[in-house]
This record gives sequence, C-alpha cells and structure tokens, in this order.
Amino acid sequence: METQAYSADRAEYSGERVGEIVEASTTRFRAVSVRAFEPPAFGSFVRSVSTDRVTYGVVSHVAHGSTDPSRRAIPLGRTWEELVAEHPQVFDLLQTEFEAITVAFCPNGGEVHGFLPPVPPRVHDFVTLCADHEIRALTADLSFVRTLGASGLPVTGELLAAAIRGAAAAREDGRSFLLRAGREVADLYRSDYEQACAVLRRLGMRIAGDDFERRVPEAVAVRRSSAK
Amino acid sequence: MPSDPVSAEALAALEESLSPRRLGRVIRGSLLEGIEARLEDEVSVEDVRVGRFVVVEGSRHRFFSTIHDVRLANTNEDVLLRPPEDDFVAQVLHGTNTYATVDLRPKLLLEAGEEGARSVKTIPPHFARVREAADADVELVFGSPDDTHLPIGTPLEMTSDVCLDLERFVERSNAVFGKTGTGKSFLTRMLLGGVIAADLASVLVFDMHNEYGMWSEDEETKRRAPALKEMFGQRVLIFSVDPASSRRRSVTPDFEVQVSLRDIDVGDLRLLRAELGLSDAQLRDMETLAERWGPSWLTELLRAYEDGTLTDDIGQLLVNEQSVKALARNLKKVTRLPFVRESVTDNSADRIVEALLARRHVVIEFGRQTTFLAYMLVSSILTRRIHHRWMEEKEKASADGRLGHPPQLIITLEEAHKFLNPEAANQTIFGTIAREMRKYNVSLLVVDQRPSGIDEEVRSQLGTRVIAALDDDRDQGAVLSGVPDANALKVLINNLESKKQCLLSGYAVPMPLVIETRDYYGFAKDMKRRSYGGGDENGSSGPKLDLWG
Repeated sequence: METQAYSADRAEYSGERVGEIVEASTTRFRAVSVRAFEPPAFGSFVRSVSTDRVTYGVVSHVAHGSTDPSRRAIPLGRTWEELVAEHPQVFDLLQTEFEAITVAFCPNGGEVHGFLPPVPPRVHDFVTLCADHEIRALTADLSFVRTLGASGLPVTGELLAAAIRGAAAAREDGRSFLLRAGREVADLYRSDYEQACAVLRRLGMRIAGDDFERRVPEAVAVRRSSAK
Repeated sequence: MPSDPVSAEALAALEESLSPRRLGRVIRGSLLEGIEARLEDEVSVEDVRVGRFVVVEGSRHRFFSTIHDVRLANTNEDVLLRPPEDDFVAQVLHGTNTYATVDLRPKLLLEAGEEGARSVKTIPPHFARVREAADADVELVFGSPDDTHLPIGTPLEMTSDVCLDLERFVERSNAVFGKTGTGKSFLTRMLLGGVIAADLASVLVFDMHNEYGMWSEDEETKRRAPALKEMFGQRVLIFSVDPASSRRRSVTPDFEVQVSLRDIDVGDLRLLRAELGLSDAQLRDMETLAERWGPSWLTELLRAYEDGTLTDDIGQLLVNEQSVKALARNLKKVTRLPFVRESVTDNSADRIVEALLARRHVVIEFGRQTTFLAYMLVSSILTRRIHHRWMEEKEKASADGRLGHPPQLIITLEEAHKFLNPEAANQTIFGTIAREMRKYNVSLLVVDQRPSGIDEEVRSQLGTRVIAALDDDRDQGAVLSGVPDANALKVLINNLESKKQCLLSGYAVPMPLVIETRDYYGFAKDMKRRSYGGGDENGSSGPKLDLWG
C-alpha cells in the first residue's frame, strides 16, 4: 500500500477547498460548497484536515437549495444568463450542500487506515479534494467498498461504481484495479447477482466511452503473464 | 524407488530451489473419493490438463497425485440463469461467483524424514496447497535413470525422466495395450531394449509384423527405425519363418525356422481351432488318434489320408470315419505352410531354447507368413517346448541350489487376444504361462489392441500395464481389471492423445502416471552407444566393435 505520513502543516493538504463542514457524525459529514453549484463530484474522494488527523470521505449526496431551509426557491421564468445579468442577488440566497461518507483516516504522523476515525471531523473544518496519491493509498486495500456498501443509501450501487471508477482513474494500472475492485463488489453482493451485475456494468461504462474494449484484453494479458 | 532417506532439511532445500506453479487449495475430499481442490483465480482452467502430475503439500506429508478431472463450479445459481453479457463482468465474477476445481487422487505420500514414498493412508488437510510437480518430485517418486531404471518418458508438460523399475518389470507378466497406430511396437521395443541392455532377462519375440528384428518402418516419419538386432548386435538372434521375405527386406536371418509334423501337438491345434475350422468332435478324435499313434500321429494320419488307407487304419479305433476324414482334410492346411516339413534337418526349437538359456535374445520373424495360422502354430510349438524345458531346468536348478537359473524369460506376444481369449486361455500353454509360470522364471509381455478379448483371469495377473490410447469402452474397462481405482484411471485413458502418450500403471511404477513417451530414436541411439561402447554419435548403423560375435 502506498503510505503517506500525515502532518497538518504539509502543503499538499492545502488542495482546492470545496466546502466547509456544517454537520458531522461518526459515519458521515455534511458540508456546504464554497460556491453554489460547484460541489465535488458524486463519488469523488474528499478530505477534511484537522490538527489531529485527516478524515477521508466519498461524496455520496449533493443537493442545491435555498440558504434558508424554511424558504424554497421559486420559479423565476428567466434564463441563466438573464438571471446573472438582472437578478444576481438570487444566487446569494442559494447554496449547494454535499454529504460524504467517511471511509478512512490518517492520524497525525501516521499512515492511512481504511476504517472509521475515533472521532468525526469538526464542524467548520474545510473540505478539500484528495490528491491521486492519497486516493491510491486509501483505496489500496479495497475496504472502502465494504464501507460504502454498508451505507444503506438507496444509491449505494451508483456510489460504489462512481468511487471505484475514480479510484481506478487515479492509477496507471486502472484496469487491474477495476478487476480487483469488481471482485470485491461481486463478493459484497454474493447473494444478489443482479445488483452485483448492475454495479459491474456501471464500472465498465466509464471505460466503454474511451478504450474499454482495448484495455480489458490487455488486463487479461497482464493477469496471464503474471500467473505464469 | 529411491531408497535414501529424505531428511527434512533436504526437503526444505528442495522446496526452495523450485518454483513450480501453484494451482490451488484443497477444499474437500475423502480417501475413497479423492480430493477436490479449488483452482487459484490466476490459473486459467484451460491451462490445467487431466493427467498432470501434481503435489499436495500437507503439513507433514507431501502427497503425489495426478489430475483426474477439471470442473466448473458456481456459488450462485442466478449466474447460470443469466450469464454475464460482457467479458469484463465475466472476468470479475470469476473467482467470486464462478470458479474451477480439480479432482485429484493422491496415490503416494512422502513423510518428511522418511525413507521413500508410501501408498496413501490419509488425505491432506483443508486448504493444503496444490502445486504442479517439479522435476525433483518426479525423481523422488520414480527414481533416477540407472542400469535397472529405464527412462521411458516424461510426465505431461515436464522434462524430467519417468523411470520404470526393470527388476520389478521382469518379475511378472506385463502388457502393452493400445489401438493401432499408437506406437505400441515402439513402446514394446523400448521396454525390451531396456531389459536387454540391463541384462535382466532373455527375450523372445514372436514378431508377426517384422518390426523387432533389424528395423521397422516408422509410419509417421517414413524413416527406418532401428530394432533390437541393430541395437544389440549378436546378443539378438533373428529366426525367420520366411527367410526369402527377410532377405527381400535386406535382413539376414541367423536361422530359418522349420517345423516338423512330429512337433505338432494336439494342444497346438486346439489353439488353432478357429483357423482350421475344427469341431468339438474332431478335437476329441485328434486326442484319440494321438493317444493311439503317439507323437507321429499327424504324419500318419495325413499319410493314410493321402494313400486312401485311412479306412483300414482307423477300423480298430473308436472314431467316426467321416469325421476323421474331414479332420484330415482340415489338417492338410497345416502341411501347406511352407515351413512345415515332414522331417527337418535343423531343429529350430532346440536352437532357440539353447540360445535363450545362454541369455541371448531371439526374434522370430514371420515375413509374409502373417496368417494367424502360421503365427499361432509356431508360437504355440515353441512356447510349449520352452515351457517344458524351463520347468525342467528350474527343477534341476533348485535341486542343485543354483539361484537365478534358468534365466528370466520374457515371451512377447503380439495379437495376444488370439492366444489368451477366455476359451484358449484355459486350454493352451499361454494361459498356463500367464497364470503360473512366474515360479519358473517365464513371463509374458502381451501386446494387443483388443484387451477385452483377453481372458479376465490372465488380465488380472498382469503386473505392469503400459496403456496407449484405446477407443472402445469395453477395452478401456478391460485394461484396468484388477487395478485399484480403475474408474479414476479410465478417465486418464480417455484423455490420452493417440500418439506418444501412455498411462503407466502397475508393479514396476510406484504410482500410475500419464507420460509423453520418450523419443524412440534417441532411445535407440542410447542403446547402441551402451552396447557398442561410445563413438556412435553420428548415428551410423552397425557395430564398430562386436563384443558378442
């Protein structure tokens, strides 16, 4: 596993700030995006850095809405451009919230652990996007698949697929990772073949867009040569 | 089998030096039904071949086995109902929802620190690792080549020699089975060559198709394949039933085989019953005549028949005249064989017996006399003579306290089902030899393509079986009669390639194993080098130094 000791003052943890935590629990944290309509992607890996540890999460839910929960936005009948030009104040009343499921943490001076931190991140801690090397480290043992699978969300399958695709994209040997993670998914849904296939098909889909057909035979070739 | 004790350190060192491919882990099994192991996900089921020699590493024992079956398994029935459409999903499901298993039948086990491998009395524990056997394992089980261990081939997909223990091989009757074109005669020549080179027995070959003497044509390569005489020079004598044919094939026989009518016995003719068309009544008549007229009964019968004096002669015998006439007519066929004479100048039978007693080897070529009548008549007469002589010698030898006399003799019979079918086996000399002659140092090497035609009792007496491909279900069943775990071995026979592969099973090998047979030309060259002493590297034929002339 790729390991990276954490230290709160390290420059790389200052990555792009995407939100600020407004609510946190043992298993998940909720944050408001820095700018409305610019949340981190569904299924992406985010972190919250505090003095003691870095907490890693996977974005599991994004919602746009009014800043005041008691007042819903009303239809205005304008195009986006007209709104920007004529009623820019509207945007001040809107915000984007996202929720992340905690999948791993890294204590100060320690290594990444693929399980839940002893305490959740603090409210008002900032949320930043993970760097590729962190994604590789925290997904290497595939424990995030089980954690996300146990989240109980109605979109668990989608979430798994999106997270796995993201983790694969952070790797050079993305295809062998997809296979490995796919097996973990198949194992997770051992008794529900349909669900397993649904997730697995979504894993393939991203790659089908570019070079899936070409990459999978290569993946097979890699496995065979390593088996010899 | 090697007799050196194997220490734990040696085993550990052995282990380290090898990196054979891991195949899987034991998941269930019983001593009765064999072991099932789950294949590693990285091992493609297509790379696993039935018959492969494998090793199971228990915690204290190493088990040796072959793969008997490969199987696909699944954890979830839904997978089978709706197989995944795309390759990626199929690949992912492999190892989680679908997997493959192999069936193993451990035959031998080796305990760390113990001497040699023993037959299995237990099974490996759960999750014991299964790996492909390494060359050192083969040597551990089958020994390394030496004077009495004949390398006869290699395990499938391996390069180390599988050796046959020739000392054990010559002790019992053995068989080479296989349908036509599987290389039976090449295999047989290798076995005989090994025996001759090790000087463990005298060899007598009834060579119906002229393949064992000087050379034979290799149907595949159209090359001349050297045979016993070319390999061993004067230690091998060629007797020809049809010298003209031998000469046409540019083979110079050492002697010609002639058969005197006096030498033909009722028992010989009984074996030829089908060939001569003899009825039960005629067999009885023959016995009466032989009793009455003594050894020359056949000569007298045929002479009287030709002179027309048969009626007078048999007047006093209690036989039916018409039946005897018919009998004589039938027996005339025998006299039409060119090598059958009323009297002979040179007694070939005695010559052959003396040569064999002097530890030389005899190949009897039949040339164009390839009818079963000729083949069986000559074989029967000679074998009867040998049988008689060997018993005599053995009795004398035991009276004098001479051990190892008469020399062990291997009689090689092609088309053996003709001699050893259930009817003939009980009445003729060959059945007797197969059943009882081990005590008198005579054994048979049965070469046949229809093992199901051979008497079951004879089959069950066979010590070592070399089995090439067989198609017929009955033959497959028959070759394994009397062998433990026959059903499991049948699978291996079913999977033999039709050329250059065979299953070794029985007394001269520690465990049954499928092998790729050794290259015959390499073998022949090796044998020539051993008999003529070095220097024959370029494959030129003929002895440079004749030590046995």
